[in-house]
Amino acid sequence: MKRLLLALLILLAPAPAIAREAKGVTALKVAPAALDPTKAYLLLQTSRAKSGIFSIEHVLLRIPTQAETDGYMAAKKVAYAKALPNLTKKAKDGRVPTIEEFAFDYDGPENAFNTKNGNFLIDGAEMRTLLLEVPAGTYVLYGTSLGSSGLVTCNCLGTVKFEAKPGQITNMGSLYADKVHKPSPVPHLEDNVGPSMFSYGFIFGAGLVPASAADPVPDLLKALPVIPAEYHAVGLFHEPGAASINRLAPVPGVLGYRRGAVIDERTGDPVQ
Amino acid sequence: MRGRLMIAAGWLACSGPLAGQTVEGLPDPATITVPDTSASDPEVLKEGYKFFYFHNPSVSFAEASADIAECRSFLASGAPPSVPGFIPWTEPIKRKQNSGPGMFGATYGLIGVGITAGLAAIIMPKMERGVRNNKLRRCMEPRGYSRFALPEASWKVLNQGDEKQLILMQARLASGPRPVLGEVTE
Repeated sequence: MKRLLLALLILLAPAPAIAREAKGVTALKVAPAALDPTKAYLLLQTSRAKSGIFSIEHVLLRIPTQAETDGYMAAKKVAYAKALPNLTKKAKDGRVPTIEEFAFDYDGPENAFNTKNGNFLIDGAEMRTLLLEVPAGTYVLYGTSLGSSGLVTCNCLGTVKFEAKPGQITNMGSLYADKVHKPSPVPHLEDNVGPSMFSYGFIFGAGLVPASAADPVPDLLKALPVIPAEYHAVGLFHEPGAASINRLAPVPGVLGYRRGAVIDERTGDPVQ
Repeated sequence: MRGRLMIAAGWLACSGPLAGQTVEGLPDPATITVPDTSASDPEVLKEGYKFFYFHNPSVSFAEASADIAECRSFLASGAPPSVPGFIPWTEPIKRKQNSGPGMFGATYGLIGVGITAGLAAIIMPKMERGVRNNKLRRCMEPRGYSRFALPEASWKVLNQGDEKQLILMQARLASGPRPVLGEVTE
């Protein structure tokens, strides 16, 4: 039975083959001569772990504006109302999916995307360097994906956020991710959460080593403004559509944990 | 911690008056009936990775109630997010209660296209139980909880039905005497 369940994992995982860029996000494979003052830029190094042929990658979320959220919710309500007769007709045991359970293709602005390991600025044996042109805003390390689309594990039990300002490169430092049901060769993870956690689905873990002002900047970018990201702890959040939940590994001086509580290590206080 | 306890107690108390209420709206745990948790049967021990409950020797009934309510809130069902795409996010973050019966009906409904409906009916409940167990483990174990095996029938009593009553039953077991047998370590 376990083999059958594991085979189903492959079917259940988000389809990684169809991977397009998010609207407003461009992975730069060549260093720009100058920065667009209206855009923000994210510089990160990322680990190269895979599961099968698919990369294990990070999912970033830009905190949307209220107008963006309102627009999305309004469109979803309209789509749900339109689909409701059909959903009711097909409902098993009379249970109609709620609007939260309703899968909705939105054609509006996008705020969540995968860091695609294949679209790198600088290659490396253990780590690749990515430079992403993105909308300015505050970004959350939201979770981890298998392949360059979808979400498998959310960092729902604790993570960090940072601001990306326009006209400069925000250096996120080094990000790590891998399967964590057993010890991983990828460093800086909370791994070995238990082998039986792999019986029914993937559980990925992520780690972060922030950049500091003393860290060397790639030669390609030395003529451009590169500022280390200033990270802040983010408390528990829900992502009901994630196949598994985890937390970003502790980040000394930024993110800690006390039992289940997320601790802002800048203040020593729990994050509500 | 006190804030979380108040929230949990307040939420649990929303279901109406409960007999023998003591701590901030929570009932006296002695008044809560729990199912049989004996784990002397080798088959129960063998199946412990599937059918278990949590126990923590250092928590009160109120703390266990808060922990279980918070961790079970991560079982709320929803459609998988579109990535790349739009994911709502508002601060301060508001967390939901777990009220749905499961996730696979909505989230992975297409699986039935790839396999026969009969096979899906057998496999999907097992998949759903495993995914839900994993979410609970990842949330509860860093808080110091261990798992203990119990009979499948008892597991169903602890995990199916009124959400508030489930939390109270599980909290009584989690904060009660440490079980002698049946710790699940795999």
